Amino acid sequence: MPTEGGLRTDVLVLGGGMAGTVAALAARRRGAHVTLVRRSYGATALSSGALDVAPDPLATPQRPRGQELSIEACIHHLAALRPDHPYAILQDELGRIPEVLAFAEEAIDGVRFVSPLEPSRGLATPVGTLKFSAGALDSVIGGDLVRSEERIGVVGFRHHLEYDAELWARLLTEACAEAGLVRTFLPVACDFLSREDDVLLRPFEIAQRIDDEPGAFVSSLGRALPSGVQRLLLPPVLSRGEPDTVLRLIEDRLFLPATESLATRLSVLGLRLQRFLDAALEREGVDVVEGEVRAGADRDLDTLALRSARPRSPPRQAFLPGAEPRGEDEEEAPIRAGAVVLATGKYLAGGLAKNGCLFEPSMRLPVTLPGRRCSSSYGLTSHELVGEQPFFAAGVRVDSRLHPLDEGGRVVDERLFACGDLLAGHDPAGDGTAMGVAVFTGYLAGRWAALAAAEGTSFSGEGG
Amino acid sequence: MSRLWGNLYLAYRAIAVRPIKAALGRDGGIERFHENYRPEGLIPTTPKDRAMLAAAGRCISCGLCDAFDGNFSKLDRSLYDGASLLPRQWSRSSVDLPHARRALARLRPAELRRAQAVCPTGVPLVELAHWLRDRARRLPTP
Repeated sequence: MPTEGGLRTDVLVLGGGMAGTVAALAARRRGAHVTLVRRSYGATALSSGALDVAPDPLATPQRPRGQELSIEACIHHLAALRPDHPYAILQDELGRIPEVLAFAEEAIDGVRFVSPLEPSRGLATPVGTLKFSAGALDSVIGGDLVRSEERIGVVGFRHHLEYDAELWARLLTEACAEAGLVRTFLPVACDFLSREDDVLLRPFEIAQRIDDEPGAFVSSLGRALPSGVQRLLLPPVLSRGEPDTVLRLIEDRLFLPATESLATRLSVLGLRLQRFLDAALEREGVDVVEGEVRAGADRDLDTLALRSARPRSPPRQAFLPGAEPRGEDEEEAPIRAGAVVLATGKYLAGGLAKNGCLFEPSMRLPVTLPGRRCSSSYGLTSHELVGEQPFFAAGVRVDSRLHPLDEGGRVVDERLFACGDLLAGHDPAGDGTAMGVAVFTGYLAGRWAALAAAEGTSFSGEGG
Repeated sequence: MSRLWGNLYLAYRAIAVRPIKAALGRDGGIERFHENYRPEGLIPTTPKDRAMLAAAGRCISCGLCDAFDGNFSKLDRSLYDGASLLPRQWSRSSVDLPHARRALARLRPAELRRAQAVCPTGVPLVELAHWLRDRARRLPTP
C-alpha cells in the first residue's frame, strides 16, 4: 500500500479492467498482498456485456452458428490455427479453462459463463443481430435465442429514437432466420418515456429513470404487452446498478421471465461490469490506487515509480520510449513489489502507445505484430490495413509462463508477467476471445505472480 | 516567356511595391485577411490551440464522460449535451463556438473533473473547457 516512502506490495497489478482484476483476485487468493494501479476506466467499462471466450471456427456470416462446437473445442481449434495467439502459447494450461471460468464466476458478482462443454449462447444485440458468446452478465445470459423456442416480447420505448420495438423485432426475426432458427418476436412498445424531450435520452439516463421508477416501468410494460408473449427481451438499460429489482418485479407482476440484450455504444452493461469488478476488488481486500506506473530506462522492476493520478496534459508529444517528459510538479513515489503483472490493455487503455513506432510505455517493452517485430508504425501502409488488422493484434510477446520477452526473445524479468489485451497475437476487437483471454491469462498471471513474490521477499510485511 | 514575366512581376512587387507600401504605412495584408475571416468564426490557431486540439483529438467518442458528468443533468439539453461535446464538437469547429458560450459559462469544473477521471484516453476536459471559453471570447458574437 502507498506509504510515505513509496508503495510496497507483494504483487503489483497495472490495469483495472477484466484481466487486471482477475489477476489481482487470483494473487490475493494465494495469500499475497496485492495493489492494483489503474489510470482510469478502460475497454472493460465499454464492453457490451458479452464475455466471449472462443468463436466457433466454422462460423461464417452466412452460417453464424457454425458447427456449434463446445467452447473447449473452439479454444483448442483456435490454439491449433493461430500459433501466435495466447491460447496457443499457453497450450499446456488450456485444461484449466473450466477452473478459471468457475473462479471468475465465483469471485465477480454478475458474471456468468456456460459450461465449457457446451456451445456458446446466441444473444441478441440492440441492433438486431445475434452475438455468440460463452458468457455474459447475469441479466443477459438467460436470453439465449438458439435454445429458446418461446414467443419473445421485444421491448422498445415508444417515445425514443433508438429503441424501436417494431424494428428490433423484425431485425431479430431476420437474424434468427439467417442462423437457421424460426423464432417469433412480438414488439412491445411501452410508453414509459413519454416526455417531449425523452426522445434523445442516453442509455444511462433511461437506466437512471428506471432505477427511480421501477414500478411505473413495469406498469408500462403491462399496458403494452400483446397476448401470447412467453418471455421478454429488454433493451440493456434496466439499471445503472443491480437490475435484479426490476427483473423480479416483472416476474412478480407480469409472470414473465425477462432478460436484457447485449449493449452497444454508451454501454450501461459495461459500466455495470466495471462496478462488479470494483466491488470484487474491494471485497477481497485489494488496494486500488489511481495513477500511472513507469519503470526506468533499463526495465528494472526496482526502478518502478508511481505517478500521481493527474490527467495527461497537452502536449503529448514527447511520449518517446527513452525520453519521456517528467513535469516538475509531477509527484513520483518509488514502488517495491515482489512481482508485477502488466494488464494495461492495448491502445484504448494506454497499454500500447505510438510515436513513430509502437511501444509499451510502462516498462518500455518491445511490441510485436503477428509474425514480426514492429519497428515503425508507419510501415503499416494501406495494403496491410485491409482484411485482418495486424495493428489490433500487436502487443507484448510472452513465453509460456506469461513472462514478457525482450528484443532478443529473452525473459525480461522472472518477476514480471503480462496478460489480457496487451498480449501479442490477440486481437480483442476481432478474434472473439477478448474476455476469455483476459480471464484466462489474468488468472494465470495473478497466481504465478503470487508464487514469484512468495519465493522472493515479502515486500508488504504481511508474508507471502 | 509567360513564366519569365510572372517572375519579373513578383520581383517588382517584392523589391519596389511592398517596401514603398510599408514605408507609407499602408501594408496590412494580414490584418485585412483576419478581418475578412473573423466574422465567419475563423481566427488564427496558436501553438497552444494546436496542443489543445491534439488533446481533444484523443477522444474516441465512447461517451463514458457523459455518464459521469453532473453538468449533464443540471443544464438544459438544448444548451448542453454532455462533456463529450467539448472534444467532439466545440473543439473542432470555432464557427459553432460562439453558440456554446452560454453553456461554457455554466459548466462546473468539479463535475467535469469527475467526467475527466473516467476518460479512457485521458482527454483533459477541465483544461479544454477553460481553453474553449478563452477561444470563444476571441470570437465575434454572431
